[in-house]
Amino acid sequence: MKSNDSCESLIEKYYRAIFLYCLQLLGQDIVAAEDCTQDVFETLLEKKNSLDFDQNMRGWLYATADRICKDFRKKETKRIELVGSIDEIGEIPDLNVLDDSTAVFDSLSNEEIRLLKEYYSEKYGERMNLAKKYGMTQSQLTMKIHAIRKKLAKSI
Amino acid sequence: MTNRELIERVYSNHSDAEYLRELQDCLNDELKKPVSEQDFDLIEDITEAIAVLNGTEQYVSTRTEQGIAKIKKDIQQQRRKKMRIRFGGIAACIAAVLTGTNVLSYSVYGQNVFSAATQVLQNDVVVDFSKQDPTSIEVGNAYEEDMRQICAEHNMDVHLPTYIPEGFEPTEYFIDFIESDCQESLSFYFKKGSKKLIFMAIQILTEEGNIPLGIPCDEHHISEQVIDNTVVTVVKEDNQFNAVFMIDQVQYQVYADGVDYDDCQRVLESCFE
Repeated sequence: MKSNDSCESLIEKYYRAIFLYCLQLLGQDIVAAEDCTQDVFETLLEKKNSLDFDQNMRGWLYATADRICKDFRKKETKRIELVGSIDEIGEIPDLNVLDDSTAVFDSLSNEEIRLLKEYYSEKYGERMNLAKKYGMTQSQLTMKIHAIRKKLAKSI
Repeated sequence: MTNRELIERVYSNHSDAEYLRELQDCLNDELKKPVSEQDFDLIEDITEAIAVLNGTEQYVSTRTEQGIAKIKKDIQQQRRKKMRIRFGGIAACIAAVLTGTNVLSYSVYGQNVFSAATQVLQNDVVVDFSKQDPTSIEVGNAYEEDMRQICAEHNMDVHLPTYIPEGFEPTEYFIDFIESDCQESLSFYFKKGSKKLIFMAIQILTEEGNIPLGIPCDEHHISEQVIDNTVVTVVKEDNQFNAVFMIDQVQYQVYADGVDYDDCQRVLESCFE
């Protein structure tokens, strides 16, 4: 009972992370990434009785994913590549109607306006540090900016 | 930067493309390291940010849910397969469904020694629960909460032993649908060193599923007990204890190997508490 419960707990906790990891290693090839992710956790199930679940299982999963993806790349065939859109807002508003007034920013808080300005400052290389400055992770910063952009789009 | 310039920058794909490249470069630097040196927190953080920028976050969430469900289904199938193999492996020790054998008349053992439900065969004892008529017959578990939870998860309402001998640890449990026999069985395995204890409950789903249980035995050390108005057939042989009984369309079996018979009896009686 213990090893099955441990496996299920690891699957719930790390499946998404391993999936995203495989996506990166396989150049955003979604089908390949799904197959390899499944292989990682199938391997976990096969070897569960010989694994020490008190050890660093996260590291084991990443190492297994790395190995499986490398093996896959060696026998790679043409597959579907996932291509998303950088701009998730949808239709871009007509910027010609804009003047230099601050009315469009009425829907945002001062904090959001400040964050937006810093994010889109001249120095692109500073965005990595911006997250740390506000005590956020990269993904939190990205999602925050996207939420602010959506609010802004509605008010334009 | 004027407000207009800011907004133009916000809606420029160019700026986010730059950020995406920046994130990708950082990630690639991390992935170049040996796996043992990689910062998994950073990798997870950046891959999530990339998914958001790529607009694939929701898709990844959906596929993750589906992938997890598939793996869990595989786990369930493994459990059922293991039980079938295990039952086959210890068939000589536990009760098995008999399809038909030569039957010796129970009168060899004397009239009315056993209820009409129990028939002694050459190499087995057969208990036909449909022939039991309890009214005419004159005869503590540290894991109980876990066992009850498992039963509840599988919609099985069965009696469970309230006593498991000290030192026994649960190893596995199995749920299996035996469709051809219209039964659903649930079994819990306990071990203490080389000693084994198995509790099994077979829920009869249809009339066809109410099939007599057979207990392989050589010496025919058989007895019947009446516990709480229920007839229990017990075989004790070669340091093995086998007890079968039926309550409310559920056939029960308590099997033990290498366990003191008094402890076995306590386990059996605790099923009725």
